Amino acid sequence: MGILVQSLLLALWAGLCALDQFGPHLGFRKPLLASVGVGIILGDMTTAIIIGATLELMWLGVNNIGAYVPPDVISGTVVGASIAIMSGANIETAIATAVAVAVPTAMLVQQINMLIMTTNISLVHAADNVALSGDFDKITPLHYLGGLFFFLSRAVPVFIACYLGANTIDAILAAIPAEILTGFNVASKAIPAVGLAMLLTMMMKKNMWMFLILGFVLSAYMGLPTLAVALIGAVVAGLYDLIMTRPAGAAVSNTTGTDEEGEYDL
Amino acid sequence: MGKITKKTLNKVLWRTQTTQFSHNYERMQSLSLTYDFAPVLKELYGDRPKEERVHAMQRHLEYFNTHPIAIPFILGITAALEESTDEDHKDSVVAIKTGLMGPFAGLGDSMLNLTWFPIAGSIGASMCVANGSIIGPIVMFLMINLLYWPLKYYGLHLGYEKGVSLLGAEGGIGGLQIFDRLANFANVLGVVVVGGLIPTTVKVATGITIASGEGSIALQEQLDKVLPCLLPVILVLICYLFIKKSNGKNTAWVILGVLVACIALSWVGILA
Repeated sequence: MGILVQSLLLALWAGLCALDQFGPHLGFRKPLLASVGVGIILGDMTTAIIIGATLELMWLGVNNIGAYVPPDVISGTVVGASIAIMSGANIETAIATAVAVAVPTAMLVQQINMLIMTTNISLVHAADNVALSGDFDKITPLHYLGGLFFFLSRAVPVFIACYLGANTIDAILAAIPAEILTGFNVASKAIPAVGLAMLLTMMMKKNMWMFLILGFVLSAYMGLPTLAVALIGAVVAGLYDLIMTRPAGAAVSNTTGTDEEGEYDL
Repeated sequence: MGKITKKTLNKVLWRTQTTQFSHNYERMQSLSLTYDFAPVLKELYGDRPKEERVHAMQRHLEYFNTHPIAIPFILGITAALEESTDEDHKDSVVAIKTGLMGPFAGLGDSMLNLTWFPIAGSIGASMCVANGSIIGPIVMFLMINLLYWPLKYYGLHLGYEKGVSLLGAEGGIGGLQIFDRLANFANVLGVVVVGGLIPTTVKVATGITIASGEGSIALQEQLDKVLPCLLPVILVLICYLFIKKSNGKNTAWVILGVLVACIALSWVGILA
């Protein structure tokens, strides 16, 4: 396959992932699942999935909450993983390259997405006019036109980035000092902190610090896998619900001594 | 008015798989929702005067925004309401429909986006981040879809069958308590999981060694004795304070800041 065909297929895949984000929510808007398509198209599933998993952890907390439009992790993943694989570098350099390419791409497409969210306003105004005809089917094309715009908002940048990037990435990688690429590798393991911090800003309400310590201890000291932590979390959440919904008069004491993680009492 | 058939409802279910295609900043999901709901409106208004059809479309084109997975359930209830109200009482349909969007948006965000997606993503990624195994993506895909499809399918059909009676039981004061309790449950679960993810997903280590006598001491080993994952905890705390300060508006800059700081600190050998 030539680079042109590959870039077109990658653009198509990114567009389809975007339609999943604005449609059925099968999960392909997340880096780990989006990377599978890149692996199929470029014929290197192992590298694609390792990069996808790295970006998944990096962007774990990046999520659509309410009307907030986050960095577009779809185009970030597809472009980052594709260019890294096309460069033919070893796995450490490939991961570093993917992170270096993915972060700015995601931020750029975030801006394009906000533009589409604004231009799509004209669709709903057109729908107001069409509604006057009393024909329910006439709004259908307007609805799908919005889908087409979201498709293109990912497909076009991904095509341009992959097509141009594939030819220039070798020269760029050769020009970047090895220390900086190592730095990107270090950063890819540290950036999940931002995502987790983001989740916490929305979750840390009254009394929640003790559950944070619980999860931390289960994982850091006892080495339990995530699913086990989640199951214990469900039990504790159930108990907390029982305590909080107990009839009045059964006030719960929640003042415990401080410990090494007292700084989380925010 | 005839009873809405299962076939029509399933048409709505398929249409909700395109929900948010026409998402926009002014009225968010309203156009998408009108498109999703059109099969029901067609069945109810197929032989009604044009004026009523126009009004039906207009009232569903009003502002609407909720969690996408809650949309089938809300449309199920809306279908039952549309069927049981006469033309003079359509205000109540819109009132109940828009009354549902807030609580479900909060519930969907806290239980699905903030809890289930991070859990599914971290479990899937942890199974393949080292070896690139296809098992990781498959597990993540199954975790998401084995939960989402029943929510969508039974949400729509139960919403229609139980309709207002479901609302009667849950829509009042008791209903609000259910929402609060579920949101609290998700909140606690989510915080426990995030606490557990800090040691497994955030990897920060220092490469500093301190000369002492004949040998040298690796600072990281000393830090591990104080608290495992001390540096990741500190990094999460710093990010938390930065994001909190700006109400989540500067996350992209925090990511860039961490990126630049890591490159600089690893260059001079402080991070490894």
